[in-house]
Amino acid sequence: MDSKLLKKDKLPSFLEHLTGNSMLVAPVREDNILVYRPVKSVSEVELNPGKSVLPPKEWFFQQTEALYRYNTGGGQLLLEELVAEKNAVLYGLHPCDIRSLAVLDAVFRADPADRYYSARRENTVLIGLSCTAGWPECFCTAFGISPVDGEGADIHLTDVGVAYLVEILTPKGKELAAKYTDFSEEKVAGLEEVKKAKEEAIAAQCSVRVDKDVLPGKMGRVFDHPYWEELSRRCLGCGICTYVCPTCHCFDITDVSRGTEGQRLRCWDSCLFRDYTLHTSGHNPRHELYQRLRNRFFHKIKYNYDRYGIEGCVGCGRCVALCPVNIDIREVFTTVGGLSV
Amino acid sequence: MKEITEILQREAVRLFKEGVEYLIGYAAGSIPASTRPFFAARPEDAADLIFNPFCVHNLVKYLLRYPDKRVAVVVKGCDSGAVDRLVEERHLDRSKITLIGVPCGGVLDRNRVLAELSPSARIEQVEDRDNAFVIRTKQREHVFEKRQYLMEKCLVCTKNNPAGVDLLVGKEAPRVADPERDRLKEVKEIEALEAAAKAAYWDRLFERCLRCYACRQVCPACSCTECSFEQAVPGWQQGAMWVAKAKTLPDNLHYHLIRAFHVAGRCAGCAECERVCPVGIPLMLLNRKLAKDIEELFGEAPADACGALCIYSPADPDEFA
Amino acid sequence: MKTHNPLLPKIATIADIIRETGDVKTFRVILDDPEEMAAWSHEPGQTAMVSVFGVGEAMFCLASSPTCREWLEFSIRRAGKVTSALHQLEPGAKIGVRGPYGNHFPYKEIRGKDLLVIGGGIGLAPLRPLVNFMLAPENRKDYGNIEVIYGARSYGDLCYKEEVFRIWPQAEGVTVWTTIDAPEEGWDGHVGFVPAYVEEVNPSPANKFVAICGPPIMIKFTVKGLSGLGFKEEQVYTTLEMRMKCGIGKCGRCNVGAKFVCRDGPVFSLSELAELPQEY
Repeated sequence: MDSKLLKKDKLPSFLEHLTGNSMLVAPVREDNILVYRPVKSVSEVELNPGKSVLPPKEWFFQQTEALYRYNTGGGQLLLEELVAEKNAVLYGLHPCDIRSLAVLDAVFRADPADRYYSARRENTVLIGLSCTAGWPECFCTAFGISPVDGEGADIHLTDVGVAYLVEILTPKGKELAAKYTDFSEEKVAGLEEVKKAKEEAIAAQCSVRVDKDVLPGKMGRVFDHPYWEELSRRCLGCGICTYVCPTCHCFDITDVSRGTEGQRLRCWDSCLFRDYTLHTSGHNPRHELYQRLRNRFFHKIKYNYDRYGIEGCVGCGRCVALCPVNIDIREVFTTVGGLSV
Repeated sequence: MKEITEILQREAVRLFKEGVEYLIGYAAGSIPASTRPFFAARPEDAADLIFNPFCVHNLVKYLLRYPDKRVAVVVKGCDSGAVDRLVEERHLDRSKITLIGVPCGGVLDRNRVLAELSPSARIEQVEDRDNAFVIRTKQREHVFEKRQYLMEKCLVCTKNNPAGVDLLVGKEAPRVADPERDRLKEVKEIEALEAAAKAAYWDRLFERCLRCYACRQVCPACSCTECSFEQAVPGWQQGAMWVAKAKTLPDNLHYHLIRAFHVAGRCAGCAECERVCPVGIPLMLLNRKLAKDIEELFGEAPADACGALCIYSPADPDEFA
Repeated sequence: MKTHNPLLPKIATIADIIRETGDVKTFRVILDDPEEMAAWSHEPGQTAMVSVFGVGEAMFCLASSPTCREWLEFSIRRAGKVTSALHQLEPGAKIGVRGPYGNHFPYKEIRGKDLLVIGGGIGLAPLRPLVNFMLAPENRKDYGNIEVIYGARSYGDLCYKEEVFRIWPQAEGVTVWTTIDAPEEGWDGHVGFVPAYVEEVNPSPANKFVAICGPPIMIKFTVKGLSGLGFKEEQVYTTLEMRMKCGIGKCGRCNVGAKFVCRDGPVFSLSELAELPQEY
């Protein structure tokens, strides 16, 4: 692993050089809402972003995406695949979001690999950014994720005071970083200590612990506990938690036509919506809200481990911050851990 | 604040003794400066009930889930209007409901308050001093002048002492509204825009909509057991959608504008739709605009719980014929 | 080489349509690309996604035996948007097919055993390929006797009448019992619900593999009856239905516990189902 130092005021130029003719996708503030968007110029970018409302999963797994075009005119049927293959640089991913991509990879890149997600994953270089502070809802450390560790990114930046520590973590990152030559020659001592201190300061704010060897098993024993119905009483059954969650990946597929031409689209869906598992016959395996809410938590805390061997939650805290009725997944961990069965 | 909480807890215990099955109120939240809807089911639960200026939720919507139970619900002035509509529309049986009215000193805008407090602040006490809320944390006291820190809806509120309730847990609160505030200021500003600028304004906002449907789920006027936008009907209509599931600007506009019309005349003004939106779309602008139009077209009819659009009168304006 | 896109269907043509009942049709489908058609292979119990472009996609069990190389068969009841659109198509119409998906009946593991198949209404569709597979000349010697207990609401609701009343009963080692729910003019066969008929027939559990499919209530009572006759959960299999969209375990919606019905099912033994949350 290679590391360099980048003076802070050089960050815009660094991003410009790395992006070149590719697309730059970066955090931007729209009416005080922080989201990741393709930008035309580095000046649009929020260089030291906090936590975005929508996670960067949106770049790889779009809210709405055309899968293919069809044309049924003239008794024939023609299908045209619509896969985006453009190169991109995605800047500003915090470690929780970087880890979320590993969780999404386990779903989308498992055989048979999803073309759309995979094409973007292959063609996008990830530039991660260590957190400088935690938010009241953050708890990435509960899953062993460090707020200063860029594992999973191609290049990772950490603010170490006067400069950014630039860690080049993959061959892809190395190839891209080679486009920039204006790194600082300064030798700064104690960088590892600075990183560690930052990590400890942020970790200290998080008191949640998740024992992945215990909690999934415990969940299996509390499936029928009345806790889920009690928790669901205030749940609105909206889709906010699923849509702002960086590891949620459920989608729907619909056809939109005009005459004989049209597109088959996929779009985000939420397991909390009533019609999510509604059969044509009218039978609905999860007809009550508490069943759907319970199913969501089981996915995050148990089924993901069972199926993919990786956590379903990365502790980003978005659902905690944005749930209109303060359903707090950290409380679910703690409560389940304490239930006696 | 403390007094209201004490009276509330006492009354809750009494109501349980009188046979109320659920009492829907507020309890402490798990993140700074927040509360959460709380479903008390036994007298012991009453001790968790609180009331403070972060009790923003409109709890009336939950009544729709328990139409056959005896339920008590804590309501502020902006919430109670919603009950009348739902009773008028026969979703609710008023005789089964106990409305616990709270004389409200206003609800604080949580984000603005948090910007002032430190991120790790633990709020220990909140006091209502009529013109301001005083928040005491471990470190110090913060004074939040209501004119600066209340939610927009509070600054134009004329009914902070809820009417038509079964009991009021405290003395009547002084008026909270800022007399210099024009509730239609922003609406008029947008009305004054050129068509292209107006379209651009709304397009930019609705582009962001995620179709999470939180606005619909939280809205007490959205009381249909099956929403038009789901149409998840078994049988041959299955999958037929008025609005495509996929998120595109035309469909987002379609959804919001139609929903605004479905709610028009029935909107209680609780502004929950705007509060819950994760991407900050100012939905109340639409609702206020439609309320303004209704008043201009049909005249003010506050006594009509059904709403102007539900009643036909030969005197209604008719520009067609 | 083009990277495979699992969500992109293969183009196929409806070669023939057979009306089974008032609301069930069997579609004989041939993939347009002869190489793809020749390369198609599936195992009994597997499913495939059928597309009507402009309307949608839905998952159906493959009702034809893998030994049938000329076409794929889907037996489809008209119930919703996609199925209604399919029912309006004529032979020659173009549709999309992708698959095969899911698991299958453990036809290799049950060699040497006898088969008991219990179906209700269109529930016979996923069981039919298993029976026909076993009856194919190259496979017949690998399996023992085959018992079929099949019922429907009325005579008109019985599917695969040709096989049920003529081909299967005439095959070696096959016995077929049929029943309808209520008496009907012209029907002098058994009258009564399938679960009760199963108890009447009183099949023996010895060396037996059981596959049941039909309306949930039929399965529920049949399973109870079988348990009373001494059948074990490990030897009784059924197929689950779930709302599906991607069919490849990514869209998330068909999960029962940690299992996706599209990938880990639709075939499940009762003992496997007992370990899953009862949310199906």
